[in-house]
Amino acid sequence: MELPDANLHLIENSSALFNSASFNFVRDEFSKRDMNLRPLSELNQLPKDISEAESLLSFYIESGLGKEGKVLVIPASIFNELESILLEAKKRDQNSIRRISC
Amino acid sequence: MRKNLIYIMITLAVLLLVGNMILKRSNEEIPEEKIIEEISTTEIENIFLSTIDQFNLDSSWINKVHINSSQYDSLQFVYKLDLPTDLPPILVLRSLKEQFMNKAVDLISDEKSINGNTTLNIFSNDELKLQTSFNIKENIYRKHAEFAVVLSDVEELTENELSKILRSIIDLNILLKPSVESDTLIGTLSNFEKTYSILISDQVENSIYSMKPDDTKTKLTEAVRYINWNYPMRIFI
Repeated sequence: MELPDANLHLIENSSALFNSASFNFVRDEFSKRDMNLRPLSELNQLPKDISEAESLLSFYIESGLGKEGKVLVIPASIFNELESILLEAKKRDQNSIRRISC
Repeated sequence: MRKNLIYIMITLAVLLLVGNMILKRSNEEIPEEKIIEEISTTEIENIFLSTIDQFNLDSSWINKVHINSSQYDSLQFVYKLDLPTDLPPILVLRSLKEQFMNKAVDLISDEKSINGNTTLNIFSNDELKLQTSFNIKENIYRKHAEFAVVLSDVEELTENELSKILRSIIDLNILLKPSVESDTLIGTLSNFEKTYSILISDQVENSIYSMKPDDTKTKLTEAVRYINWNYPMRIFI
């Protein structure tokens, strides 16, 4: 499934709407407008704990991405600490929102 | 007697003065001589190759060619590197300069045209130790194991913190919860060439975007419509 060239439309798995009977209706309303509403849990979320996040990010970049690549969700509060790892990966041209698929 | 005493005191004073001068001089720090470490050709080559390795180049694009030229009697080989069009030589040169920053070497590059083929000479002690050419090739591509970064919880950041992150050169996609604040933020994101995604959560409330399980179908449809209008898809070029 090709991802963005465009935005993602996500819904929190723990939200009341996602866990209700109304979800299917809402998802269909998104689909009618060519928007694919998908649960946030489909993406790879990094924890807020910096050392855990660093280790997981390094793992994803070094070995865990696979051919299709991955979308990594990073809490904004720890972005600065992880930026150097991301910059190294960018040098290798691994970081791009354009060509990723998920 | 008195005269002798005066002589003795003057002699003592002179001795003390001389002693003091000698002590002062011996306590003065001897300035350390700056030692510039000699760097061998092998070491230069190792640093060069480990830097190049960061760029995910196919090994067939890195060629070591042995030479026997009287023009460069200090050189026994040159490197010829092919680069894909998405990797301008300036990026590689910048990394190499960083790696050699504290080494006793001079890096002199000769760029034929902007982002075009480039030759790099690395000198040590005025002797050419390594030469490499970077040749742009149209039909080669790096293999990618790619990832996209989606940044969550930006609403927890201060304006300054967010502004700093937006200046990052990392391709970032910002996860927004639809709200009046997010409506205004999307313009800023565009200015910084950042993209965004939308997250529906229980925190999206009291607005045209809120969607609750008990809402009528009309209300839910309206909310989806507003999201579609106010957060249009952005196509990358």
